[in-house]
Amino acid sequence: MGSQHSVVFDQVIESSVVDCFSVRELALCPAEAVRPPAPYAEGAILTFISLFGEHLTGTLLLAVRPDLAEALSLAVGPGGETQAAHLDALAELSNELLGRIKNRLLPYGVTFQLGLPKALACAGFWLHTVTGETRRAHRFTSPRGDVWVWFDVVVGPDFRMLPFDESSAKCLPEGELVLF
Amino acid sequence: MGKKVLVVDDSSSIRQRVSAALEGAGFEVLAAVDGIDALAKIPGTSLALIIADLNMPRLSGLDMISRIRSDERTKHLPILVLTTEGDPELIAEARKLGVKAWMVKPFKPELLLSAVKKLTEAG
Repeated sequence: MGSQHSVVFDQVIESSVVDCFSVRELALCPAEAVRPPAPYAEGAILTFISLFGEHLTGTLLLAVRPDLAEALSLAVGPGGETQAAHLDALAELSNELLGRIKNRLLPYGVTFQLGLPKALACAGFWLHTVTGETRRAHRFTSPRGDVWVWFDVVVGPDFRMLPFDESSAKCLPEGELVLF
Repeated sequence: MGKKVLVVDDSSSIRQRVSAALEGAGFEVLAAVDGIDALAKIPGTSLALIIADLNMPRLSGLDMISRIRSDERTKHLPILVLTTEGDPELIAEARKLGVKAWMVKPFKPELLLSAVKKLTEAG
């Protein structure tokens, strides 16, 4: 992936993650992504969702501490205290996050389809890529611990990122409604 | 008993939030976990509206809507798409299938409720 592409991806991912958590009333602050990531001593909730397009494929991974997942789940309403509810809340968050990223990449002529989000609870994890691509790691601090996001994509030889074109971006923004 | 609305989404948290937004206004909210589940539940139920996600296991939202539109018993049902997608090409495709409204997640409950009221009154 070219460095110019990486800059755009990084900006889009960073702003999308911050906004996605902000609507859930959790303020995140982008921070330096230390390598390797510090382990979660309390375990973690990990979600992943694939993306696939004509010229790029990849996976978005999101990791949070269990108590952060619990807080997000409880905010949905009664019944949010079970681990199944925590996983569902995080899976839906990753779905919304990748949708937001997709919407923000459309003005650059980048498009892809979303897979189905999966979430799992784990005592710890490590990531391994078989693609040889550099994984884009993003770390965010919050009052409930760090949030980690990895955007692991492979672009094909015909992949092109166009200059930002606002006029071509008729994407319906998050939270908006259109009646026909 | 209020008007019946079917929410089709594989996320339990979304189904729960939609129910909370509508039931307080007197709607009866039924739930389906994906397109196949919805197609099994729709016949024989006097629905006023379907709220459907797009990215779901087993049968996507757009495929489900196509099947609803090709069935004489269900082709008249108003449908609101509630999805993370804001892609204009997808919106145009859904519009061709007769979808009445499109809303991008995360949704504002009061905005969803106003759309549901409008669509169910029009029906």
